[in-house]
Amino acid sequence: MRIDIISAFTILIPLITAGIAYKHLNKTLKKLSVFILFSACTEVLAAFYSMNGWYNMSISHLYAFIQVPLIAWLFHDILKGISRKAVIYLTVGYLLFSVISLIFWEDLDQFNSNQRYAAAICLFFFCALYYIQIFIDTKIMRIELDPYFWISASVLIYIAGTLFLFIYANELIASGKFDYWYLNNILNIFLNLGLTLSLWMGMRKSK
Amino acid sequence: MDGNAEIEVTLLLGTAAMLTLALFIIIFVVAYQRRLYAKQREMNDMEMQAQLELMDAVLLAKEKEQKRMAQELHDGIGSALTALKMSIIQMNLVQEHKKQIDDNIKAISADVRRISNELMPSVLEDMGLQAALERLSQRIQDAAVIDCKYYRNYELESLHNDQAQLALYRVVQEILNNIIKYAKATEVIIQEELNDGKYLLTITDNGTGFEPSEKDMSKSGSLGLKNIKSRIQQVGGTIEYRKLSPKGTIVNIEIRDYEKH
Repeated sequence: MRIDIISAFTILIPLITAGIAYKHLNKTLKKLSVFILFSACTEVLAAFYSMNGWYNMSISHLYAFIQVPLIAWLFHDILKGISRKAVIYLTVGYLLFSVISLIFWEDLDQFNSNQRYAAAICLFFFCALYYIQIFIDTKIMRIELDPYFWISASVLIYIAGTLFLFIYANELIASGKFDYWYLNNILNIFLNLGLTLSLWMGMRKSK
Repeated sequence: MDGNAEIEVTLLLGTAAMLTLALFIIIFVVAYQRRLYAKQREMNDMEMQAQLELMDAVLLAKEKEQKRMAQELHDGIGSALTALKMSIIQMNLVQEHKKQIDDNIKAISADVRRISNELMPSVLEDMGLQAALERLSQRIQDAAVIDCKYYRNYELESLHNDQAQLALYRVVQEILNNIIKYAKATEVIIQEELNDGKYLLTITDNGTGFEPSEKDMSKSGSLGLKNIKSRIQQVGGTIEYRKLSPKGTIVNIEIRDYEKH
């Protein structure tokens, strides 16, 4: 079986977990469930486009456009004080940059490299703000049991591993080198597993 | 190297570097947070220990003061009342008035003795913990508050030193007070046992049931519970509260090296 198909299907793991655990989850993890549902919908949409032989780059634009505000919505709950404001400013800045990039540099037929690495920078800052908060606030007893730790760790690994891939995506597509997308597929599997762990920890915590 | 090859090398090296950095950040956060948490726990433990030591010192000072007051009441006011009684006998008063005054003096003397005894039970000093507990249970029984029984499975006169005896007596006193005030119990059994070199003091009631959590023990309002814990710690023992089914509570106090205390 192809790794891209396996990777796309792994979204079902956190999706099913979210469905089972939904009533036990807190407000923040319910927001994570919304993000997972959104990711699953874009996977289905991308597969549908692909099956019909349609060009699906516009879905990547749509995904990146909604992904950051959704994750920001999540981190806005997790973070406190001034970090919350930082999340709002970063998200607004990101959305403005996305619009400018779409108008001037990368239209809907091109891979949205600029938007993707801007998203990676935003998400990196969200994770960094969360880690800073952990150092300030020592209330967490065992960090590996904290659901938000798993969100930030899996998001951080995903954006770190795909940053260069997204920066050079247009060049790689132009030269017909698609093998490097395996990296995105593998990291996507890790991301989905990390999100599943987060939901599971959240469910355990509430019981 | 052509443009594409350069991109591929940059992509691979950049991705490897970024992944390493991400992993390093995560490992660093976990390790640092663990260290921070361990340090904070250590500080909390130290603070708790200091609090217990302070409480021990306060309790010791309180006992010392109570002993001094009990002696003062017994020797000072008690003797003064006896002298007053003698003086009244020698006075030229109507017999009826003399009797009235004598009755009043007797009542005051009884009150002074009771207060003095509550401050520092003389039976504890004179006859030891067993006799003091027996008398305490008898007093509760006589007051018809609760059916209170006392048992022990050994005949030794005294197992503990004076300080430990006083600490255990105060603990039982505090627990019985709590039972009378809150437990809605009708029966209490106080039991002293010696088993396999261990000293066990058990207080069982048939009340509503009470099992304090660690949180309850550290609450600022539960001074009584803290005092009990501190006194038990003073004598090197442990205390455990357990709710009984369908109702009641059992409090187990265990001292392993009771001969040391």
